[in-house]
Amino acid sequence: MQEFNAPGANPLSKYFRQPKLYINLPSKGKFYKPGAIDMPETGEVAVYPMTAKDELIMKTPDALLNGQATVDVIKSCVPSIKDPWSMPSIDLDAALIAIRIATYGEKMDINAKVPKVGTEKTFQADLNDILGDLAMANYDTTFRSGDLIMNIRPLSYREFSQSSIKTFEEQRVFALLNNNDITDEEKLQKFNESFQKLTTLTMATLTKGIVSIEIDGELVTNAVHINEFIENSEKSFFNDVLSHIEAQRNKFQVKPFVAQSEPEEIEAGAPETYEIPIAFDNSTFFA
Amino acid sequence: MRILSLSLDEILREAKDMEDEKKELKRELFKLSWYMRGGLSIDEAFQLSYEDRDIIGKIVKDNMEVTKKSGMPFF
Repeated sequence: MQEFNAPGANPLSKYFRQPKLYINLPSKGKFYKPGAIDMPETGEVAVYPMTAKDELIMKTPDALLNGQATVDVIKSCVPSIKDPWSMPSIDLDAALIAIRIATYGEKMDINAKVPKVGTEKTFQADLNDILGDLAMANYDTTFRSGDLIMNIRPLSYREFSQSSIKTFEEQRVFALLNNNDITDEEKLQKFNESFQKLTTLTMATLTKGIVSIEIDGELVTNAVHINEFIENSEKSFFNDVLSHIEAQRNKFQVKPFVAQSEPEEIEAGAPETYEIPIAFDNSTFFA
Repeated sequence: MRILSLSLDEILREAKDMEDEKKELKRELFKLSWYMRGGLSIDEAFQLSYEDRDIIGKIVKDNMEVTKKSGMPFF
C-alpha cells in the first residue's frame, strides 16, 4: 500500500465536493487585478455548494459586517476567484446568488403583503432568471461629458466594503443625535462634522472609480489630478459623472419580483401586478 | 448580505438569531457524526453541504426504521 504523507496534491481531492453549476460573471473577468482570478477558457467559473463551515461563517455578524464572511465563502465556493477582496463589486450579487443556487436550489421564497388587501403571501423567485439578467448586463466603462471622455471602473469589493462601513459609522452618529444628554450646539457640531465626512466619502468613492479622463488627446490618469479636477468641477459635470456611475451600478442591481394578484384579490382592491423588492438577507439567503 | 442597511436594533436581533441558528447547525452536525457511528468525523461533517447533510439524515432515519422493524438493538 502506498502511503501519502507528503505535502503537495491531496490524494483525497477526487472525493471533494463537486461544482454544482458554472456561471458567466457579469464582469466577464475584467477589472480583476492580475492573479486575482483564474479564468477558465470557457469563460464560466465553477460554483460549489457551501459547506456547513461556510454556513457558520455566514452566520457570524462581525464577519458579515467587515466583509470577511463574504470573502471566505466566495473563496470556498468559487475557487476561480483567488482574491475576492479585489473582485469588482458588480460580480458580488451574481456570485452570492450562484452560491445560494448551488447550496439550496434555484427557488427562493419571498414574503410580501398584498397591497390594499394586507394578506401575507409567499412567492417563489427563480434565482436562475435573476442570475441570467445579471450576466447579460454590460458595464459601460467610457462616457462623454462635453469635451471630456471619462473611463470608469466598478469599485472592488474591498473599496465597496470600506465605503459601506464608513457610511454605516457616520449614520450611527446621526442616530446618536437623538440623545437628550447632548446640548443643541454639540448636536449641530456633530451633525456638521458627520455631514462633511459623508460628503468627503461620497467624493472619494466617486473619484476612486474614475480610471482616466481624456481631453484634447491628453490622457490624465494621475489620481491626485483627477481628484482635484472633480473637486473643482462644475455641478453639471459632477452630476453627469454621478448619474453615469449610478446608471452602471443600477444595471447590476437585482430587479424586483413582479407578483400577480389573484382575481379575488383584485376584486378586493389589489392591483393586477405589484413589485416586491428582492433582498438577500439572513432570513432569505439560507433555506 | 445587507446587514449594514439595518438599524442597530435590527442588527442586534439579527445577531441573536444568527447565534441560535449557528448552535442549531452545530447540534445537527454533532448528531450526524454520532449517528454515523464513527463513519463520519466531526471534521468531515463540517465539510458537508446542505444536500449531503439531508441525504445522510435520511440514511440515519432509514437505518433507525430498519432497526426498529428488525427488533435489533440500536445502541
